[in-house]
Amino acid sequence: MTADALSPSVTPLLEMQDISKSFSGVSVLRHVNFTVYPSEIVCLLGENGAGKSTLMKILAGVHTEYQGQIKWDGEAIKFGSTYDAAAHGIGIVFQEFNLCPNLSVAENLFLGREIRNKFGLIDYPEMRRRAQQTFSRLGVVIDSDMLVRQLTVAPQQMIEIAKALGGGNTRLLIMDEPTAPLAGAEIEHLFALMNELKSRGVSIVFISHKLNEVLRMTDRVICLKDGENSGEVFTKDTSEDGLVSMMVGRELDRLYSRRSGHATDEVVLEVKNLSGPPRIHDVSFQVRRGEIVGLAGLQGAGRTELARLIIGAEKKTAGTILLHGQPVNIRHPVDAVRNHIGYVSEDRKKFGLILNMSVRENTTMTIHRQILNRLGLISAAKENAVTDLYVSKLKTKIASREQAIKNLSGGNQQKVVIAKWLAIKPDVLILDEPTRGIDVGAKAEVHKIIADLADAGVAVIMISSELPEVLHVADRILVMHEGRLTADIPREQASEEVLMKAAVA
Amino acid sequence: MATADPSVPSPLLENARPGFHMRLLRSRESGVFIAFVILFGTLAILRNRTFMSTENLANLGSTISYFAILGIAVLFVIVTSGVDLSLGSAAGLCGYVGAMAIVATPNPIAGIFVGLAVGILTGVVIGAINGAIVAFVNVTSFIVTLGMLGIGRGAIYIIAKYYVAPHASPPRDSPIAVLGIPQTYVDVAQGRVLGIPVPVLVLVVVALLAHCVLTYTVFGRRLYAIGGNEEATKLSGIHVNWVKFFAYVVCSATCAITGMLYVGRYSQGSLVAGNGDELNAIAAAVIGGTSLMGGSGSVLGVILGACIMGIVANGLDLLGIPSEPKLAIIGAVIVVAAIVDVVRNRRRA
Repeated sequence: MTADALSPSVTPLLEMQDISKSFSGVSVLRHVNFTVYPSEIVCLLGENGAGKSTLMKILAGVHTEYQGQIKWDGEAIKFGSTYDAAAHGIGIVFQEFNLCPNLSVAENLFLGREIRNKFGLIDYPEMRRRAQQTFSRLGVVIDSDMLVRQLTVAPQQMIEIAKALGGGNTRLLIMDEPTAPLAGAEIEHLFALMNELKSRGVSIVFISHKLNEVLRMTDRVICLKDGENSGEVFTKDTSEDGLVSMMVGRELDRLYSRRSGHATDEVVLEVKNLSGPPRIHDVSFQVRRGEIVGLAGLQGAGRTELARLIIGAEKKTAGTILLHGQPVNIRHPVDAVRNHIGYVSEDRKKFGLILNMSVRENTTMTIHRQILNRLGLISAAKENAVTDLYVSKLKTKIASREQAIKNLSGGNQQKVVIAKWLAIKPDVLILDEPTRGIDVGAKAEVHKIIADLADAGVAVIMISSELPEVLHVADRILVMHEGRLTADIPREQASEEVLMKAAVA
Repeated sequence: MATADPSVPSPLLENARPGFHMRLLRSRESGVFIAFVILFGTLAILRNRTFMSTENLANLGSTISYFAILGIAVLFVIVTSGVDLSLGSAAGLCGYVGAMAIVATPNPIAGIFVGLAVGILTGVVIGAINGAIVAFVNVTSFIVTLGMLGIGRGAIYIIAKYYVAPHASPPRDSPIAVLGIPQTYVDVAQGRVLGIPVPVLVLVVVALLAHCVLTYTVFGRRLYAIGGNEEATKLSGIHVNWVKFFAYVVCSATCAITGMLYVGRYSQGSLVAGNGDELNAIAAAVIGGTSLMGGSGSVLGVILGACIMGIVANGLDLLGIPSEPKLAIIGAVIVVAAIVDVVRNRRRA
């Protein structure tokens, strides 16, 4: 409908027609159509596992085996490699950066196309000059001599964008969740840059789960669900609810019904005057049985560091931790597990999962002693039973228990991480950004899981950078700023404004 | 299995670990096995009389067994993404000290057990030193075990210099081997049961034990987990340091078994036994599909890798190649095997 709606005289920049793709016999994309016009920002929307990444990887020349046709500038084409796609003017910024942290900004920017002087050696002054030129065109200030590992996420992303824009002939820029790692002002800057690129004639495919951003930034939304087109709409004609229903195929009640249970008066976890590296200072709070405590704050406020101190991943320098009123000595995550304290980390690939292991092996990582038979060997039956229990409890979508965890979507990976911590029968569960990088549907499911846990009597601490999520899920909200607690607010009295004020003050 | 798109790794292959031996046989290790069969067939045709003789086949089986036991030993460390370069020195030192114990024991039957116990205990000590420095002091395994390679070999010479055999020659200046190993010990270590050389039988026992430990015990599971993602393993409530420590202990103790077999093979506690074995053992592991990045590798793969290393060495001997070019050819085989593996992986990934 959209194509008709636009002037027929405009040739689409890109037409992907009837694209199908399967992995090992499992069909991932079925007859998908995807069109981009010049100077247009298109949102590719869909839950994790809907096939967005696969479609974009076909476009970027990563996957070269598929059915269907791609037309670029009106001509049928088949990209044989990523270089091929780049040469035709397609740039992609992946969600995970591909930078060498030990090299300088300029070296990264020109990686693989270094500028040489007449002796054939790398011409650093020229590279530096050209790098500064590139960055000033993008409207950012980055010292091109800095090592990438010294930079924060936002400038790193700018380097990726600069790389994707390459020599300047890029006509289509694909951005996979570019705002996920960014904070407020950085997002604004990114948006300004996107608009700037658009006005220069570059088309952008914007992949994001943040619907307010989609509504604000894009011209058109194309939605995938389960590997098929599930809707296409001009952004100005839709709303958040409209987008959500396209994604999930129904009007989703995004605000899950409030849970029935309430926090009790029984204090499970008490943290007293906790201090420790790198910057946690004199933090005290309590969490009650059945309570969900939200932990808000800006990036770098020390929330993850606080969690790591509590579970013994870092050594505390002062303070005590009491469980059920008794002081406990937690010096290593082993002690945390023994005391039924679980920690779902913010970065599941780095800290949560063994990527080359199966769903089964990941689920039982925390309970090796409980899956043994009488001979002291690992019992396949016990392992399978535990795995099946949590797969069905959390409704994890897997092909089999033996499926490698890296082949699951983000939401399902997260469920396996949660499963391994439910397996220890936690009294206290700390969830660090539990819905980061997962789609709306899975997000609602995770919220439901958290509520159910609290109802079952678990004391829950949920760290989240998304204020609406904190306000929505938590019973009580703690705010951190530069390693200290700056607020402890019951939900009824909290609002985004109140929380933000505490987070920055 | 039906793979519609060869460019995509099948989940089963991706997950290939010891529990999946049958599936593994169809993939990575099948190539190694086919290579072994081809080499075997070629030698059987080219040098039929010498190669297919009982004597040579027994010798081949023994050689493969020494390599394979050392390869299995180092597998425990490689799986955690470490490496043990000191394994040849460890085997040599354990063998030398074990030989001293054998000679010092009056009863030759008791000597077998005393020697084995002392040899393996020596291995435990070497492994504990390696493991403690790697796991608790956090020094890279490469450099720790490289140092231990020198220390171990040097220790043999130092001990040998001051070693005085009981009821034997007077003190002297130059280090010598431990001589006078009782014939009983040599007969056992070099003997055959139903025509099968004892080293092969020892390998079978070691392999079965190692396979069970890696596949069915918590220790084994944790070794793979550490190789896959050490930080996530630690956060799951696992004493990663202790697991790594014991990986090195198991490795050196297993090397001691080969060291003790060498005592039988050379009828002495040799100064040079095990010299350069780290090359053969690590090559066997890598040819057999063990990733030096950790997290994958299997006992069966190591044995197949050792078969390749053993048959190449044996074949070159039979073809009358002198030892210097032989070393170069073996080195080339390792590099070629690594290239083949990378190419195969690239095609799958």
